[in-house]
Amino acid sequence: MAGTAWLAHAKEISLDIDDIKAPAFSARSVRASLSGPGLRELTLRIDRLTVAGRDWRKVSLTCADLQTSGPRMSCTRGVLDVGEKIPLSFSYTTGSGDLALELKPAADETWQVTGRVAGAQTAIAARLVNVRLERFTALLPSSAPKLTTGRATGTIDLRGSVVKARVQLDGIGFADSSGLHAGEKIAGTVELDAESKADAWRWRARVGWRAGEVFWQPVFLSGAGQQLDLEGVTSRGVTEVSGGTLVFPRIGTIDLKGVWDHASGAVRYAEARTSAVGIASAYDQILKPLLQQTVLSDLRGDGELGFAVVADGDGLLSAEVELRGVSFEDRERRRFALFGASGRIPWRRGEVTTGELTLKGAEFLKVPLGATRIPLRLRGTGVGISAMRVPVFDGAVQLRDFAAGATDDGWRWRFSGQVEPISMTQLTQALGMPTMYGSVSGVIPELRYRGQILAMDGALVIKLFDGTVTAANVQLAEPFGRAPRLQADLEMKGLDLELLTRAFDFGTITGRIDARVSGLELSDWQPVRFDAQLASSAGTYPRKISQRAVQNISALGGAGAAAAIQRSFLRFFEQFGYDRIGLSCRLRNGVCEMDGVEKAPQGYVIVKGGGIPAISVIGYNRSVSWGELVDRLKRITQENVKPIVK
Amino acid sequence: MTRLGALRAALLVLLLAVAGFAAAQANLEINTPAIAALQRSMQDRHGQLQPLYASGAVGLTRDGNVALRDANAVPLAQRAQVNALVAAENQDRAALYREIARANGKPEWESDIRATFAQRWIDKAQPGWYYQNASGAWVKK
Repeated sequence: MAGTAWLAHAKEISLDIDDIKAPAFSARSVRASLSGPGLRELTLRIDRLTVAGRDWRKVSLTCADLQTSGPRMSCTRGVLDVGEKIPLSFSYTTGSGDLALELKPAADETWQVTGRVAGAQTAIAARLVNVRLERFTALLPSSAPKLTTGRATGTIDLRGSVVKARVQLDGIGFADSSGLHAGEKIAGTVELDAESKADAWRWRARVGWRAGEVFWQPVFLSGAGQQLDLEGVTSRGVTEVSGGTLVFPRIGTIDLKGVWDHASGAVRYAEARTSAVGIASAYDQILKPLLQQTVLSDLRGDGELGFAVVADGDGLLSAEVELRGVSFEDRERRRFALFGASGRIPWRRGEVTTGELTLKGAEFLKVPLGATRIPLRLRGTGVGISAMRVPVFDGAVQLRDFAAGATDDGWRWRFSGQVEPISMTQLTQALGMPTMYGSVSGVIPELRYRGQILAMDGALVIKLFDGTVTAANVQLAEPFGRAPRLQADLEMKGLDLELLTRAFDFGTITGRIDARVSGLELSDWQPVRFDAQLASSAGTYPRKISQRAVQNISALGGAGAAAAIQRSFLRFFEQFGYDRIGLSCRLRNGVCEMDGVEKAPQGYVIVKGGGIPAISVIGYNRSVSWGELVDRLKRITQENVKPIVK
Repeated sequence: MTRLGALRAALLVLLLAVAGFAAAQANLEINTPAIAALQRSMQDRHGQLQPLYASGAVGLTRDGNVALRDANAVPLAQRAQVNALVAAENQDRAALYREIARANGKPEWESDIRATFAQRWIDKAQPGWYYQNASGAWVKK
């Protein structure tokens, strides 16, 4: 108090106080006066009131009927003016310290405080009915989302050093200016029990979330009976949560611990662990909204997950995840699935740890993968697998020296391995491709993924149609993007044409063929560029071509051989002899530049006749649109180019 | 060379560079299977984005992307989805610019193509939609 002065007149007593200062509270230029008949009108004016950093100007409390009888002072028709005028009544007895105060800011809103203010014997009970929470907006830090609406009803008891609060919250709404942190229609309960001893508060809090929604970028949660129970001690600017649980109905219970330093705002220690979380509900309630528009947006989950995460002031200290029978399945599009994953994966800062996962099975693009054991080695952001074997049909894919890690340009991984012969028959049937005979096998010297590019060193050899297909210089850019781009060089040797033509239902050709596709470029799995040459293999073997195959080859060049054959005596033969077959296509800008075995007048020879009866097929159209060629392959039609049948 | 002369020379070089790009005429309508796939994907998404452009929740950025401008215009339960839509759209747009540059045989033109498209998207925007001006401020068209 800087200065006081009593001025007593016949009709008015007034008290001027310059300033009142206390921690978290100050009042400037306070003036109290009693006036009117019998000095029963009380007026208290404060020029500027500051509570918890918030200012109110020209605050006043007036009472038109102040009554005093002995030590008791009471008022039934008071008004508090803090910008809005709030009716109030109070009574106070000096000596005993008995206090009763009631504010009624709105018809259905009541603040009631009753009790006794008497040092250690102080006992105050506050009863709140529909208290508008937006009144407290100004008291919250400005960095926090703005509390826009909400009501609180309940009781707060203060008895000596014990505080007990039971409050129901309803219709709470908050939002920040960007709308990325917001809540609506939140309802729940808050229960708090605290006791102060020496300089420490020992407390227990229980928060239940009954209804409403919260979006806290990127997480969206609905109130569905989640409950948070915390117990701890707050002392000398440090809060320690010694025990806590967070219950998600139908998902599981998470145990919590932590130490929080108020001054720095830093969490010195935090621990969260759970023995079992239900994967199905956790995915539906928590993860699904996060994963929209990704390949993981529509999964069916099953199984249980346990985890323990410990962090200190420097970040994550350790993490351990345990899976028990975890399965995921792409619900609608069935692109992938994972069945019965179990195992323990431990991680510790600055240490090398090992864990193991077992999979009962999986499915990728409808290709089933068998049971797999995955030994993991973890260090920092790095993951290593020394060796694993994934059964695929009758064969398997073996991985060796797998290493993955996070870098500035995203994830990077590499491995080498080999493919044990896998049936092409089963593989192509599963992939919905024409059935091919043979098997795929090979050695993968090294497969690397870095900067969104998947590249293979060395060559992958596929045994197909009794011949070999060698893929080299394979590079796949943005494999997980919208438009993956593949580059490769393919070399095929000695493919059995009879098996090949049977697979593609192309008529029958007996013989062997070599092919080379260099500079192959696929964009979104569609060819955009390549140089391809097909030619009969060297060597001695039976060479026959059926009438239907002749028609189809001619049709590829846009020809109508069928009519020509039908016009000649050749129609009586089911199959013909040939000397060589050859066709090349140089694909550029959607146009295939075609050529054959050798030149022919105004065209090129695709099938050069030989033996009896012999047949030659000649193509005349050198430029064919790729799209049209594919269409023709699909519906083998007769078009403009006429082959000469001799 | 005088300072003015140097400035002139610099401007000339700049003009030539711009003209070079224009003269080389990147074919923005070029089509490849990947471009077609991206355009289909973006077209499918457009129906979901349109009301968000109209409400001002999502705007067109000056660098040829879309951005969440005001999430408060979107119901709470849908905000995560709008985030995902914006991310997916930007992924497609980046792939589209890269793919058009590549299809033109000039991968190094990607940023020029992005800039050209940024202006195109803004020119094609409907009245009432928000876009970023040259200084990055949101403007209602």
